[in-house]
Order: sequence, then structure tokens, then C-alpha cells
Amino acid sequence: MTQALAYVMTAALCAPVIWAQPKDFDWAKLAPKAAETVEVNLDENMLRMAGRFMGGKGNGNEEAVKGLLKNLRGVYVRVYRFHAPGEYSLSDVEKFRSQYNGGGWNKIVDARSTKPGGDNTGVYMKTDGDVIQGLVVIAAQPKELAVVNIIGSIRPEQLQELGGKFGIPEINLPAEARKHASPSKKDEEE
Amino acid sequence: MNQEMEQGLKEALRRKPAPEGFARRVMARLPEQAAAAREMPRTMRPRRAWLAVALAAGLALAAFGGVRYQQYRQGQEAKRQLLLALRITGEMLTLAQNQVAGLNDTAGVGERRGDQ
Repeated sequence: MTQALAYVMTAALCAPVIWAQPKDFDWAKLAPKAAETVEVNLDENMLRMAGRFMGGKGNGNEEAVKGLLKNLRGVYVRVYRFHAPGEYSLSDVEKFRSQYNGGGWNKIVDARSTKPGGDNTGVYMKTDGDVIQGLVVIAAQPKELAVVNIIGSIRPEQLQELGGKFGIPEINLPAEARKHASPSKKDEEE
Repeated sequence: MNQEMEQGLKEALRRKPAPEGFARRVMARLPEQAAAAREMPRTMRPRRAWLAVALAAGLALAAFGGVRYQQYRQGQEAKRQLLLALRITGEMLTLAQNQVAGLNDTAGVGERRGDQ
């Protein structure tokens, strides 16, 4: 009985970790072919740790991120840059993208190029009411494949605050979502 | 010459009775010396104790400092990775935005051509 309980507890503890990792893609297969690899694995503990070192008032960029970090549970990034095109299979990418069709995921951007050497990008968001629970960005370029997976609660106004920082494009929220935006941001807009 | 030397030695080594009260004085001094000997560790003990405390405190401080430094390094590394992740996310979102804008432009041109 105790052993069964231990198994259940272990499974429960491991579940978020398994869910956090990008699935259905053999990342290990790509690594040896890549000329350059970037991997970022930040779980909840690491994010808390990073939050302690993010600049407070006076550093607007880091301050916006610090507020965001409180409810994040993980940030995972994979970037593989190749010497030549065709080092990864587009069908593998499609298979990977398909897991974000349904299951509470909303397709925000799905841009596909049929031209040879064109880019394919996808932005997927999991929402619970007004709150974003997960964000996945996939960019498949001829010589580069990149996936960003952000897990945790993000309020739309927090996302808007990040616009224009760290190269993140300005995000124009609908009027309803803007009502909840922070006063400082509203003041700037006025 | 030899006889004189022998006589001198005999005189010097002749058994003499101990002075009056010698044994009493010796016995009286014995406890004092023993007490002094016992007192020495007592005076040494606080010094050793302070040394041990100082050593323990030093070790604790060093361990604490080590842990804090380790946490600092991990935190800095986590921050560096997070900022990198945000920059990559920014680049990818910009790419997606540009691609959507490009598709919209193409669609606009198509629509305009259709109108003509």
C-alpha cells in the first residue's frame, strides 16, 4: 500500500516535468547535425532563483520580467542551427505542431510557406479564461529550427508589458484586456 | 695527593642529617605544587574552548559563504539563461509577425489584382 502510494506520488511529481518538455520530437537526433545548439531548461526553482537576481526598480525590462516570473512554472528553449538546409524533417515538425491542435491550445499564428526555403512559424497559446497557461512558439527555417515553451500563468497585460523589450514585438491587446493593464502602462499610452 | 683528594671526597659525601623541619617543609609544599599543576589546565581550558568556538564559527561562516556564493552563481546563470530565452522568444515572435505581415501584403496585392 505504502509502495503504491509512493509510486503515485512519484508519478504526480514527475508529471509536470514530463509535460514541460517538448514532446514527440527527437531532439537528441538533431543535436549531432547542428552547427550551433542553444538549450534552455528553466524549471520553477530555477525561475525563482533567477527572479531574485532580476533588477528591481530602475530597470524596466527586468522589472517587467520579475513580475511575470512569479507564476511561471517553466521556460524551455531549443534552437538548432545547421550548416545546410534539409537537416531536419518538416514532417517531424508537423507532427510536433499537431500536438498543439486542440486540448485547450489556441493557434494564434500559423504561417506556412510553400516556397522552397520558406519559413514556417506557429504561435500557440493555452488559456484558462483571461489567463494564459502556456505559450509555444515554433519557427522552422531552412537552416534553423527553434521551439520555445513557456509554462505557467501569464496575464495578457504582463505579456503586453513585455512588448518592446528583449526584441519582443509590441502587443496590442483588445480593449477588454487593456482594462486590466497596469496603471503605469495606461499612463504611458495616454 | 691521592690521599688528600680521597679525604676531601669522603668529607663532601659524608652523610649529614637533614636540617630541622626539612621533611615537613617538603611535604607542605607538595600540595601547593600539585594544586598549581591542576590549575594549569583550568587556565588553558577557556582558551582552548574559545579557540574551538572561533574555529567552528569560522568553518560555519566559510560554509555559509560557500553556499551563498554557489546560490549567487546559480542565480546569475539562471538569469542569463532566462534573458537568453526571452531574446530568442522575441526574435521568434518578430519572425512570426513579419511572416504574417508578409502574407497579408501578398493577400492584399492579390485582392487588388482581383479588383482590377
